[in-house]
Amino acid sequence: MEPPKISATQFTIIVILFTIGSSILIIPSGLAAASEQDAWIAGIVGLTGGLLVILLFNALSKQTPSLTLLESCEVILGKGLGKALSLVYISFFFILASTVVWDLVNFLTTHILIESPIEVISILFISLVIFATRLGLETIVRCGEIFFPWVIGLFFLWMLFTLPDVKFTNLLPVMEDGVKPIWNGATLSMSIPYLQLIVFLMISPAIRSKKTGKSLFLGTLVGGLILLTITFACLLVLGVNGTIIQSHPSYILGKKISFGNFVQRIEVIVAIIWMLTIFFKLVVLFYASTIGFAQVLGVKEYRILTFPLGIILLVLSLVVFPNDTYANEIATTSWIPYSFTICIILPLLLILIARVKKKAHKV
Amino acid sequence: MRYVRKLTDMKKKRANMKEKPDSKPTNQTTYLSVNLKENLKEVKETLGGSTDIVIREIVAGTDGTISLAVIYTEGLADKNFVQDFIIKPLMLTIRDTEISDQGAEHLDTKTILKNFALANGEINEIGDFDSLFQHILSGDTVLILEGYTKGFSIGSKGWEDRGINEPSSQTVIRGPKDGFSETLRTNTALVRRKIKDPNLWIETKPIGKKTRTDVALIYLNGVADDKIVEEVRQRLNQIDIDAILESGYIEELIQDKAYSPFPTIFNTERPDTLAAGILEGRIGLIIDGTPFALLVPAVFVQFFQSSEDYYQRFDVSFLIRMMRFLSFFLALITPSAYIAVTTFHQEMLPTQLLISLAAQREGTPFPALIEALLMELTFEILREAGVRMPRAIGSAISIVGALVLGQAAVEAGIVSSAMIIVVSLTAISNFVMPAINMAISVRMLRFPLMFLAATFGLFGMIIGLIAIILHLCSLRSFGVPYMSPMAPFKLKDQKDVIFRTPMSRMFTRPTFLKPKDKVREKQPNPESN
Repeated sequence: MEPPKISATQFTIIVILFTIGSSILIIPSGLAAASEQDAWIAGIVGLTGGLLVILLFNALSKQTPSLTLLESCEVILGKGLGKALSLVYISFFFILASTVVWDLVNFLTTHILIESPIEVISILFISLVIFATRLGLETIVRCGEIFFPWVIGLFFLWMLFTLPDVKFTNLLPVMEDGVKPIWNGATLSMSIPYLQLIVFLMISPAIRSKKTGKSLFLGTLVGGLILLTITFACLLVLGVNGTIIQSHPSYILGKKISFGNFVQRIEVIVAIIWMLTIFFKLVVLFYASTIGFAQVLGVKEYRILTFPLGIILLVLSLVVFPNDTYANEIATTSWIPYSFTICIILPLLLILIARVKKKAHKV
Repeated sequence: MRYVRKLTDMKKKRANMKEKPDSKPTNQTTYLSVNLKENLKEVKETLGGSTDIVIREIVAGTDGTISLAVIYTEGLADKNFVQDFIIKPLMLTIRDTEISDQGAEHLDTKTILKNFALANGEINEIGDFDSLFQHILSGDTVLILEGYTKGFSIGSKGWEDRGINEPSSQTVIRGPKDGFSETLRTNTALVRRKIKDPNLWIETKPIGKKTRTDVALIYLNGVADDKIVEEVRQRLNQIDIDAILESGYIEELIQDKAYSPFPTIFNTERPDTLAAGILEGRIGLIIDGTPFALLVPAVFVQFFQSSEDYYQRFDVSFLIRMMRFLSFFLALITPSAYIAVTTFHQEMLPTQLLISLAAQREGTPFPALIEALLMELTFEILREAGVRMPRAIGSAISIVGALVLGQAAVEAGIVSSAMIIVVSLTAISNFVMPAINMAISVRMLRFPLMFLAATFGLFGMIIGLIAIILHLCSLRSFGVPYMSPMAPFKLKDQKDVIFRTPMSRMFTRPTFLKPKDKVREKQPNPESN
């Protein structure tokens, strides 16, 4: 099995798709709930924080540029401790993957396929993810390249159609309650999706050029700006209350669009963007967990793990959240410290230990 | 487990099959003997006295001491040629030639014959029966002499040929009207006429243990990537089959992935298309006995390009090519989109259209999926009948198809008229594809998409489309990713994908084919403008 090789452009594209995927469902209402009409400010702060986190990830990957995150854990911490930490990371990716499936299925059964059983939809979607993962990273990123222009094109079309409904008074008053709500929103937006980008440290060794850090940064920036635009659009068109009370405000945004009486009900466009980006997010997460698991277990061919892990993912996605309220509660409370621990504190520790070790070697 | 065991069994069997031919005693080469009579007896016995083999025994020389035999196959060899330039010189002309004047009296009969009697361009010496039969059965004339273990084969191929006709598939309005025929040499000559470059190299190799079909590998040396040429050669060498009757055999035997609905090898009946491919750095394969030549490596977009795209002006070709991509999608998703929208997403339709559709569907007894399957199946049957039936009853089919099955089915209340429109649109869009093998893949993939749409609506369709694109992205044709130059994206190669830039702007060959010589035309110096 040859190690996969992807180009920097392909990596950037997949980062953009990952950043948009599934956060597009949660972020507008989550941010509006946390910081009301200042959600867009919170979004900007969150994006800035996210880009700083990317710098941290890049610093970590510079320690061992040719190794994946889990391999470098083992190199830095030693075999036993490294494997333990690897399992922590894998569980993070895997739980994240199951919440992504849950998000999509929850959205579909709420708005589009109201009568279809959840399990069947999950099975169909997860089988597609297994199929993609078995075809390998190169195929996944190439597929991303094919769909990327569609996602971007549909996004611009969607934003263009929202323009007639924009009301800038919805943004007033600015910073009514001071900095606290903005801070709440910013931490939420950092944990979803920017901190999750740590999963790309599992893929970055596959990039042919040396510009890994730059591609990751650029991808995050573009993806973040798209998220920010959608948050902005939701606030401007639906208003704060309209954004908060909906579980999927951007979908409702698509429903509200009416352009000259003949372009109506284009929410399907929104749904298509989501499905595509969520698919790529899930594939990246699943691929990372699979190759991570293969590395921990010492399995040479990761493909044999796809079926068992896929079945576990299916079951996990069915039980991960009992309902919408619970999911929101988790996302705004426990998820933030959880992801901050795993994606900021642990990488910082890893960098520190690696530096100390290097110094010790030199002396 | 059982599946794995079956696989390993098959591998073992295949390995055994490869070993067998070496162990067989029949494959040992037998050489010609000195005795002419014995040689002729061997020829007659091996060929079972087939009636189309002509054996003419001649006594030549001034004193009648040289006995020899001329053997050829009637129908394959040019009869006039054999009589005028082989038999006649041997029997008559040689008697009048004063060989002694030429200082040749010390030479043996064989050399004298070769140098003074046989005024033919293509002469080879043969010493064993294998090559003797090979030559006779491919149309050459073989001459064997009493007292020698070597004979001659004289090139005299000249059988009835269909001639160069207009290609029946891949027709164009503007462009050359010559098409390949069934004879290998005619076809290579057609390519040579387009590319008069000494670097156009042709390698020929017989494939097929029984048919001994000549397969010619044509490429532009110094342009085509050596690695790909070597890969093609190797894959051809690995073929171990008894018969090659059409290029389809070769295509299936050398393609990258057998289990894929998409073709990874391009075929064409047009010399200009083949020449254009070769000029881009691709490798052509011409197989004797079929007008369909192969072109490798093939990429997805190639199947959307017609040679006419380059003969019409660029803006025209751009529009036409856009239309082809559009019709590809229409042919693929129209029935499934109709099913999804009418069963799951009625809100997407404008109210008036929804009402009119609902009114039509009220009278029909079947759900949309069954209705669509019924009509699609009917159409597929009609189309297949149209291809196979004799030309004379063609009009009958169109009456049955259009009137009886279309209009009458609607009037009888079996299907809605909207469904007829959907099926017709799908069918017409499918015919737009310039490459028939790509059109067939679309025909096949329509059905799973219809089932997905009927069970999951647009969600199912998106899942199906993602799966198709994933599969397309995983394909390779001789090492070249199938979706290039879109994925992996190459900006330089975008000039001939969806757009076709003007000829004056096509500076380079497609880089995804890794040509050794990238430059097509010199890029004008920006300062000189």
